[in-house]
Amino acid sequence: MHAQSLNFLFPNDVHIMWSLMIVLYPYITGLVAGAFIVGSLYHVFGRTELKPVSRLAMVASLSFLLVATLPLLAHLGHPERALNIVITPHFTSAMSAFGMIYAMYLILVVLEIWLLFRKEIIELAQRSTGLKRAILKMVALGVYDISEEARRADHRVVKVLAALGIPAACILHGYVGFMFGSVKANAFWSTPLMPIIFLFSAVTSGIAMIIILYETLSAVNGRKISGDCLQSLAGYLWLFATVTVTLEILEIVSLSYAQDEEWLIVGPLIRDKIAFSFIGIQMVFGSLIPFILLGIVVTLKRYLTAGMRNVITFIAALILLIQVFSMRWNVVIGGQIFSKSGIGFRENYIPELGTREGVAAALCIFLIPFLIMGAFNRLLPLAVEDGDAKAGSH
Amino acid sequence: MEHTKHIWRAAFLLIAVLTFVIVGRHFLVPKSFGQAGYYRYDALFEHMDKEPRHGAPDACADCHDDIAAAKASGKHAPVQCEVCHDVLSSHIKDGDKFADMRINRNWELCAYCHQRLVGRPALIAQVDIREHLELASGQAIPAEACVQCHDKDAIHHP
Repeated sequence: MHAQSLNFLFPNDVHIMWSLMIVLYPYITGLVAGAFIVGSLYHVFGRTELKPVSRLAMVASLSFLLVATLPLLAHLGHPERALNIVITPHFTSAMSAFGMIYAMYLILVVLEIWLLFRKEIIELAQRSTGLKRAILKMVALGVYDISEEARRADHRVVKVLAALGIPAACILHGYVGFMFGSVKANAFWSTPLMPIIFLFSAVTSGIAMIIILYETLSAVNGRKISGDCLQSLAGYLWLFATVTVTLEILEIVSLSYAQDEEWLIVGPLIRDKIAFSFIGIQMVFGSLIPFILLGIVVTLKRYLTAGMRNVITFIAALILLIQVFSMRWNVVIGGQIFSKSGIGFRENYIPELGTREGVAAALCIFLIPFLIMGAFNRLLPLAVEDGDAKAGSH
Repeated sequence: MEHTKHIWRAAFLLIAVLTFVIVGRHFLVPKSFGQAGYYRYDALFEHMDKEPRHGAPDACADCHDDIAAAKASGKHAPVQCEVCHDVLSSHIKDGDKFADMRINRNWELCAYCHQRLVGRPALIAQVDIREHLELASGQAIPAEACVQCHDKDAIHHP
């Protein structure tokens, strides 16, 4: 009997099918959603102190969105078939939702960025000549109206788009978490909490990335960092990081406390197999240290100089970016290194360096959004112009 | 309304893009898609037109009943002949043998099941190939390393 069923028992879970690229994919989409939420805090909820990063956040969201599919394409054995899922999506497949969610979100973000930068596009078109002018005129859709009334209309539409974008961003990343949470054979993934954890960690990584970009951009441009803006971002980062880590801990505590049969494999997984990346990086280094650092920035702001606050916030944001990456790693890789039957573990996964799904390819993909932002910044400045910044809360 | 010309243009552009996508999709979906389910129906006939390459599980026993009987009582019983031997169509045509059967004797084939893996059920014999062959570090594994000791009788009647 045993021998008869062998073919069906193995080798189904001795290989890591979802590689480094599948770690990178939710990381990048998380940055997309998180950056958008930061932009919406200003555009929809009127957090005027965030005006200095409002454009940066939207362009960062678009730049990451444009490369979000690359890790998936690098992972696919037949990337040329990728469009099939978009052309003939089956509504019983969660993965087929991707095309619609991605397209809807892309339209929203592009429209919003177009309206935000319309004035600059028109001004640049008027200053340019030849082909560049023709292209810019086309981008402006042939309308050079930057009157007060037109700008007010822009703001109204941006507000509506940003409001629509919040559920879109939440669906985009909640869906990524759902992909894992719905794999019921996997004890480490299968929890309805998974989309929520993914969503909150997405917002955490988005805010952290905006802090890093804002401080870097200000240093490069020689601009003053807005104290109110950074203080507010640090507060939001503290809040979202705390909720994220609480949810991550609650998930494990629930599993451990319930002592269901999953814990027989998930327990040793956390204690032995991914102890360094889970307990060491994700929980202690990635969560505890930023919690203390941001706690200092938020609660002891009276005693901090602007320089100290900027440095502490920068370091905390950088560590939280590592925390969120390690969370993606632990979920994706951790969920694959044990046998779904609970029989034991496979060897640890070490990504290759130079292959299609290797470290070098992942780094190249991750670099592209920054190049896009750099190119965008050269053409249309991401920093809000001085006049507007002064009108904010400098 | 006077100052919303650009917004209307953007809205029309968006409608044009969506129309283009919907019309474009119509041309991209294969003709027979959805005819008998959520797949390209013609794919069935394209596959039916192909010559089968593998034989049925018992096809080899038609001529090699002695080996088939021995194998059925051994540990390799659930492993199909064509896992180690070439496909039936490379050996038999219209019921007659037209070429010798090729056999894959490479150690990598054996290692596919017998390389030690933590998650592999213990009832499958497993070894660390390099350790088992007592190879020095850097020494390559000989291509037919396994079959030098585990001959065909041992494989068919293990």
